[in-house]
Amino acid sequence: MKRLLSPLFILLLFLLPLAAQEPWKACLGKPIGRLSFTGISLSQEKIVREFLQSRTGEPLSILSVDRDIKSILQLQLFDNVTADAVPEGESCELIFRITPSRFIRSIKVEGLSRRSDRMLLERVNSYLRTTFSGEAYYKEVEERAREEIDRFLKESGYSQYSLSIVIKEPSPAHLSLFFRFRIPQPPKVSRILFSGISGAEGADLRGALSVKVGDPFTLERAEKAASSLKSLLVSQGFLMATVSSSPQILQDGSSSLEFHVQKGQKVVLRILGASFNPKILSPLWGSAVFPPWAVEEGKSKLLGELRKRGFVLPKIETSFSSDESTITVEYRIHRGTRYRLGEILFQGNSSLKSDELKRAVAPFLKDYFFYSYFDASCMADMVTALEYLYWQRGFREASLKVEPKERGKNVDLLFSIQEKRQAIVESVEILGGLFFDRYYLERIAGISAQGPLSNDTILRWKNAIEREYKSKGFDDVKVDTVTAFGPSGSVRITFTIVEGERSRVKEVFWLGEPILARSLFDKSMVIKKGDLLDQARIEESMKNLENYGVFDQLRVFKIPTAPGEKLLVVQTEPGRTDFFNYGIGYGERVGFRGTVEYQRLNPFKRGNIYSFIVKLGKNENRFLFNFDTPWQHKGVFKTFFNLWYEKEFLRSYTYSREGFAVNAIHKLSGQRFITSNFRLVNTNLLSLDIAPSKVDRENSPFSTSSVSISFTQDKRDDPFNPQSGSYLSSDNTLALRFLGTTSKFFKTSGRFQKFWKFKNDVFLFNQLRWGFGGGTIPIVDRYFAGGSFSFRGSGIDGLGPRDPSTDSPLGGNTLLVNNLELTVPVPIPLPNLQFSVFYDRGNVYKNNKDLLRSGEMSNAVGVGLRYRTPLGPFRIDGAWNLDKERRKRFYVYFAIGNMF
Amino acid sequence: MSISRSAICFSLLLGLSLFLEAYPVNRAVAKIGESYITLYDILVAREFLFQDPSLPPAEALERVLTMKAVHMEYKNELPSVGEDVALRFEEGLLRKYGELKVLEERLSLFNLSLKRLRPLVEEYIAYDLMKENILLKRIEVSFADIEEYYASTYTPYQKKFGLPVRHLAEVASLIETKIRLEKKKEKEREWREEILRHYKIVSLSDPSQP
Repeated sequence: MKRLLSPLFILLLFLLPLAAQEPWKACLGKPIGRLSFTGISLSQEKIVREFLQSRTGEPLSILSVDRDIKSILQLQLFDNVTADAVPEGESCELIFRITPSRFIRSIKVEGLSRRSDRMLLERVNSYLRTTFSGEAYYKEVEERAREEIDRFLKESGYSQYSLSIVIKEPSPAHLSLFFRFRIPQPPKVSRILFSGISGAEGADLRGALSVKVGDPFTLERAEKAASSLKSLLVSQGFLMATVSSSPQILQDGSSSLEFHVQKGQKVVLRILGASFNPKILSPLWGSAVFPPWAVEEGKSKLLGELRKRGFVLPKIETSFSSDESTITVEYRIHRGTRYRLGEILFQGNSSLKSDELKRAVAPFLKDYFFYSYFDASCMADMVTALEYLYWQRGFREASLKVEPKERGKNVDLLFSIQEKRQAIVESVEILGGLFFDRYYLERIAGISAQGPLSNDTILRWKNAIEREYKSKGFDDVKVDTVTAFGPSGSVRITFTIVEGERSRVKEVFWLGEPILARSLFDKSMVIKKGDLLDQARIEESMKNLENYGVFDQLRVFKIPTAPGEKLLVVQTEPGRTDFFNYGIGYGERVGFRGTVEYQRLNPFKRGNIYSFIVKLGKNENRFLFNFDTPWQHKGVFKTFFNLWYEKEFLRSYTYSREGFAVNAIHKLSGQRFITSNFRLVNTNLLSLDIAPSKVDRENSPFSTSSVSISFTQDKRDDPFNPQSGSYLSSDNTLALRFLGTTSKFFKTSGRFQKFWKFKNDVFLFNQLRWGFGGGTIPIVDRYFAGGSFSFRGSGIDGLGPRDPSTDSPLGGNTLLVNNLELTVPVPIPLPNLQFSVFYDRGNVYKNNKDLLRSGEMSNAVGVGLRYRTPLGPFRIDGAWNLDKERRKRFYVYFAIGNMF
Repeated sequence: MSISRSAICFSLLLGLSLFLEAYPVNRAVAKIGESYITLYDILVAREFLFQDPSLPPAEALERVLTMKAVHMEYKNELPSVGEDVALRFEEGLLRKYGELKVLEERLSLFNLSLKRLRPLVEEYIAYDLMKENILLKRIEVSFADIEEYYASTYTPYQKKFGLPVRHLAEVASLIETKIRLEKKKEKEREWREEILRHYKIVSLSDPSQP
């Protein structure tokens, strides 16, 4: 017996691998007793179970398992799937081991050496970002990325470097790959060679090179040197010169730089008859240009420039000569007369009215604020616009030309139109659809035959049909359009519909970290289980989820499970939740101050935001706590709460204040808002530079409870740098003695701004501010004006009544100020710099009766410079006060941000 | 413990572990474009399409990937596979297994039948025909190639082994066939590499592992 055991044991060892070749045979045909999953969450498991073909109780089928594996992978949520079977008596357990996908969040190369080649790194990182960011991560990605990085480095002349990879996992579903690039010692340039030019020329250029032997080699340096050499040659008249650099790493590790120079012929450009610098034609003469082409392009360019300046009918003669070394081009310009625009006339337009044609060309006619010459360069665009209008109306063969007709100092534009035949839609047929009858679709899409053919209309009809089908669950509907032209200009349009299957939502699943309360998620999903699969409702649901602002990414998958059924899977990626900001600023009332802000998004999974803000400065201390709720009711309503403590040191007084406010915003439209709030505030006047009587005996702590309603309408094109449009705001506050508070007053204030844009970047702005109040308004709530943001002809808060003994401003219950400003570009080539002249007028009054009684206003005129930045202009204003009785004649202000 | 007791214990443990062990049923091995290839696909292709069960799994995978890539690359140009061509293939399969019953038993192991196998057979035949069409166009054997082979390979070989050296005219067609076969192999390899380069292939697991 013992003698048999060892060979038996050995036999077992041999048989084991054989059994492993088709291992599933052990479980084949056995019923599946249990279906298990590993590596995925319960919610993911629920989704997967919905469409598996393998079911408990049914025999294990290798084919079904194969289909299941592929279906699971098609979800694009998982990296790999393995199926194993464990025999359990007469049945078996089928286990799907699933590896979730991870995506590449960021991938970049970092150079740790200070002398690393920045330009090269930027190029490499840009390529890596475009190619790999957002892709699913596999090991191959690292290898592919490394190959590409090696390629970039070798092409740039690097051979001695090391590249190590660090992988970080910012979240379970994401990876960030960092390739650390190190060069032990950057190569030095040991040799500089030139090819394509003589030795003497090379010696000249060597002197002008920005890189020398012994300098550290970088790709950036080499390319800059090549570029500056080219600029030098171009400045010498070799407009077609090319210079390229090819670095090479030598055996000793140093770098040899060779510059390939092709000077080409020298190009001499002469322009006679008009004051143009020939340099404006230089860019046309690049390398490998066909000289006669460049000559003609130069002529077109000059004609265009002349037309822009109002020379409507210029003529240019060109002469061209060439030898081995030089090309000479001469442009003889006959400018003709300069004209202003007269009438715009049309002839031949029987189908379209002249008014309509004028409207089509109106965008090309710039505003003529100043009486200036006609920019004739837009004539070609006007013809194109008219041709497009005719084409849209079915006149596919219409032709137009424009002829300027001189009339004294003006030029009339005569558009001659040959409309030719209009393609008329003779019939529209709808084929293939069974669910809707064609009359219903025609009505829904607004289809009508016998109108002119228009591509926009056909597309609109097609989209309407598709939309209607998709709203009724036909998610895969396809609508093809065929347009057939008849001999007499008639058109037959045929829409062929392939409906596909009508589907309902079998189940809605949410895949992703549950960073939002489930109730809010369900509320956002307007499409529910059992509903028809309506794409519009899916998009609305996604928009609702986006409005919470807590997701970095939202994706929707529609997974077919059975005929007529699809799972709706919403996959979310959480966004960043913590933000920390800091800054330094300057306000003319408060001086320099620093601000620190911490913001936390979605702290309670309900889309709320809370933030702490601290502002500390020489004249201001402020501590704020804000709590925002998310937009409700499809983004039209939200509330927020504030709690704050502030202390301000002003010219007339110093105060501290703590308060609480509840606010609500109602969005009436994209541009209109109503804000209402309730405030409870306790104020302490800490010091007064004015007589206590001027503050209505409220120099002990006093409290205010107030309600206010504000209306805002913002039609500006840009809130930071407005150039057109208007802005209106009005605020109405009522303070009542409520909850034991002491103040009782009302205030109504507002502002209206209007912006006009004219030709040549000329702008005109006007702002009217008003404020009226009654009752006992505490000094802290009174109106003050004066300074760079209100009235520039006085000191800060300088308008209105003052304390007779200290001359400190008292503020008032009534305010009226108007600012008018004209801005023009500065005539030097510095973009974003503007010059302005302005007129400010207004005053602050003790009360409304004072305004009605005296109506006295201060006046100031001034000039200023503005430099536009993305966050508003940097301003310097100088203003002269025109009042007879004035404290000072001239004021200068520096400010950041618009006056308006 | 004596060796025989150790052997008994080990065998018992092994048997127990075999009884409780999870048997791999299937897994994904590669992804090409948006399609996934599983171990099942490789085993079916190896057994019934390439008809070479001893083909190493890695090589079988490469052939399956090539087949998929060709279908994606030439989807509008693939030749249609006639009923007679498919039948001839199935007849060849039947001859290999000897009996229909044996073939069907083998197919049932993979939950297949001849009917279910047909689409895979057609896919494979279409790929094969496409490959032949393309490779035929690319292979040229010039007379200079034949002469060069005659002079540098055939004649020295014959002399080395004391065999008669026949005239070029007599052996030209044989030499041409041989060169064409070699070139075809080379071209096939180049063509396969070229096609596969167009598609992103991701390796998900090692097909050689059980």
